[in-house]
Amino acid sequence: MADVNEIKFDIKKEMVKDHLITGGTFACAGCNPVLGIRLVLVALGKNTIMVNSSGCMTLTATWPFTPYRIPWVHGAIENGGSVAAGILMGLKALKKDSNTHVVVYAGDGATYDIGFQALAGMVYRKEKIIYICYNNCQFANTGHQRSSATEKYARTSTTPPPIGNPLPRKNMAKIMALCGAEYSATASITNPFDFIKKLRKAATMKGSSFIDVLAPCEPGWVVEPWETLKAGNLMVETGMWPLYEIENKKFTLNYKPKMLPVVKALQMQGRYKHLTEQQVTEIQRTVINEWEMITKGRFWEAEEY
Amino acid sequence: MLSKLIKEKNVHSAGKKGIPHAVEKQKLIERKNWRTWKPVIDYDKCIKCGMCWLHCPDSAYAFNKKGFPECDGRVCKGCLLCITVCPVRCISAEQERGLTEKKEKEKKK
Repeated sequence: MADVNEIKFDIKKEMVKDHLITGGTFACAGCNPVLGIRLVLVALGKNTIMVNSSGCMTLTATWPFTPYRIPWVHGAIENGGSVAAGILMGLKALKKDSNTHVVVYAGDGATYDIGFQALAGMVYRKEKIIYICYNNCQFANTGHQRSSATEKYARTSTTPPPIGNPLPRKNMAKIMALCGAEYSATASITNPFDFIKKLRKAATMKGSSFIDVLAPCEPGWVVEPWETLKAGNLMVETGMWPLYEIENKKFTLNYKPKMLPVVKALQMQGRYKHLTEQQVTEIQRTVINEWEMITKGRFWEAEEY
Repeated sequence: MLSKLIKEKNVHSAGKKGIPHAVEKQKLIERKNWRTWKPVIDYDKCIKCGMCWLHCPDSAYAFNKKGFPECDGRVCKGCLLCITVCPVRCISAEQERGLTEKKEKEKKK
């Protein structure tokens, strides 16, 4: 398959079309996961069925209101993959699966922790489903608890300040590639063109694909509503969130960041306010080590911070 | 039963004009009371690039017949992300005076 940067996306063509998710939702002002849904629908178009695992994005459609103009299903928190697989089975029986995209849009709690077995099963059976994880690095819906996507030393309500979260996060894109996903990638909402192109590439795959998209959460990261995109962008530019894709276990780097000092990204977010200088240097060291491994072609051995 | 419900009460469709509707009365949900700031576009500087349209979480932006973006004041929550993404900085913030003015008037009375 072609390189992601060669896939065409013309914004002028899309601007004419109607919004497939409308305004007036219950999401916070400046909510990035909702923006993620918009980008998904811009990329994949009208022929999409969206499955939602419980999370913040379930609150967008509370009966009797719905902002969606596409079919939208809410399963439980742990079975996003299975619900999507069932829908795909039904579409196959009706012979309508060739031009319909089945998409799962789940949070990082529902992907990394609770819904992991349904996701792993879906990927193992190689179902043609696009699984998108909007990663805000915590269980934001229930009050910002620690999930296994939370970074080291970040403050959450279950890992309070003096130490913060003692454990590094796990790398889901790697795990999914090893589970058997044909295409697995990381993306960032702050780089929407890259995200849309990756979605369009994932739609052409025959097997299952997984995209982990970083979506800053404004009350969780303790930033102002208008700073969310900047906070996410700094995570990418400092090298804390590398953008890459793994296609059939072959690794390619999509974006080379400026490698700014990590302090810039950490200062901006209120959840890192308690950090000491020692901890900052430790994070910086792990980020540099990770990037050394990636540039040397030893991606699979690299450690997350 | 379900199909009857869908046909009669139009449960599954999100109104034609782009705003979610209630089931029985076709009433739009407004979010204008959420915001303290609102974006104002300077149309002399605008280059019609569509970045505000792409980045708006509330789908408030739509394009008029001349191709310029317009912010729908009914659903805009005033997050001001459009200001940060505009490449020519033609969007500025203006304080929302509607509610505070009303309260001040009531106090004076």
